[in-house]
Amino acid sequence: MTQLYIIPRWFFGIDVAFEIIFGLVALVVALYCLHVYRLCYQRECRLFGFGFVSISLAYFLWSFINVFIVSRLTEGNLVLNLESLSRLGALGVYGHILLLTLGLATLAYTTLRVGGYRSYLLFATLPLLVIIFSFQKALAFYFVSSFLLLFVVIHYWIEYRRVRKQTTFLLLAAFIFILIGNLSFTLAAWQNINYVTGHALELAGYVLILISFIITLKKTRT
Amino acid sequence: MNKKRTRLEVIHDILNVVREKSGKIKPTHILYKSNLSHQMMEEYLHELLEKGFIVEKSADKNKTYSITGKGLTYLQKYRSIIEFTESFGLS
Repeated sequence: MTQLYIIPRWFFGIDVAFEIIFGLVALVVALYCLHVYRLCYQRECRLFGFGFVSISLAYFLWSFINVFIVSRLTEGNLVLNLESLSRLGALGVYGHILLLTLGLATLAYTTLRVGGYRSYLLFATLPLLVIIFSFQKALAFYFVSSFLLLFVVIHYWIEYRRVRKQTTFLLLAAFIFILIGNLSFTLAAWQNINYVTGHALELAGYVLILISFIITLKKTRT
Repeated sequence: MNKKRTRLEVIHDILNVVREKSGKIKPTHILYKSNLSHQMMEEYLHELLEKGFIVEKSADKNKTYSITGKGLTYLQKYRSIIEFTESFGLS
């Protein structure tokens, strides 16, 4: 069975709220990135904006899946597995996987500062192909996304050492939390507590991104 | 040792020079004021023209440049652009 995760019954609803928060934070950052792109036409801003739009849509889709499609099982848990999904549900799950992987691949690609659309196409499609042709799609998805997040963490570590800014440090911490949260989701198909810790860690990550974003905006207006 | 200017800083410096002498500045003055090689300056000017930050006027084989509204908006928002790109590791 391709089980994605087990949701503790008490946590159901809270997780949806968390996912909407992740989506909103990603959307705010994405819109600002695209706004900055319109001012300076810097390619990195457009790519970052596109990456965060994709991540935002992935989280909104995830919350939609959790609200409408999760199948009920016994022993106080709610389980999402690929076989039990309707066609709409399967589309939703694969849409979430596709959008999140594409978003993270775009962020990781931007941090490498490599030019050209062919290299981007290669960078964006390879992780998707790995997931599509894997027998354990859920596991492949969490490992691939964690690997991409690791690249983003390394980038912020290098950037923080270079600029020594508080906001960059917050982003470094944020992506470390998101990476550990993502690794926690890898185990959420076997133990439901990992689903909760995954959400909690990602929430910490997205709150830090929001704080960093607000500090940056305040600095530009003083 | 001087820190290498970022792409956004170079654009800012060029636009600032063009604004100071709007409508009258020649490529040689931009070259002198912006502290770039001739090839780099040509590349930047081409990019700025393409993006509509400056306009070129030709008269009697002489080229002059002036800043557009878009270029002025860039100069006004420069600090917020730099702050954001530096914080988010995009500079």
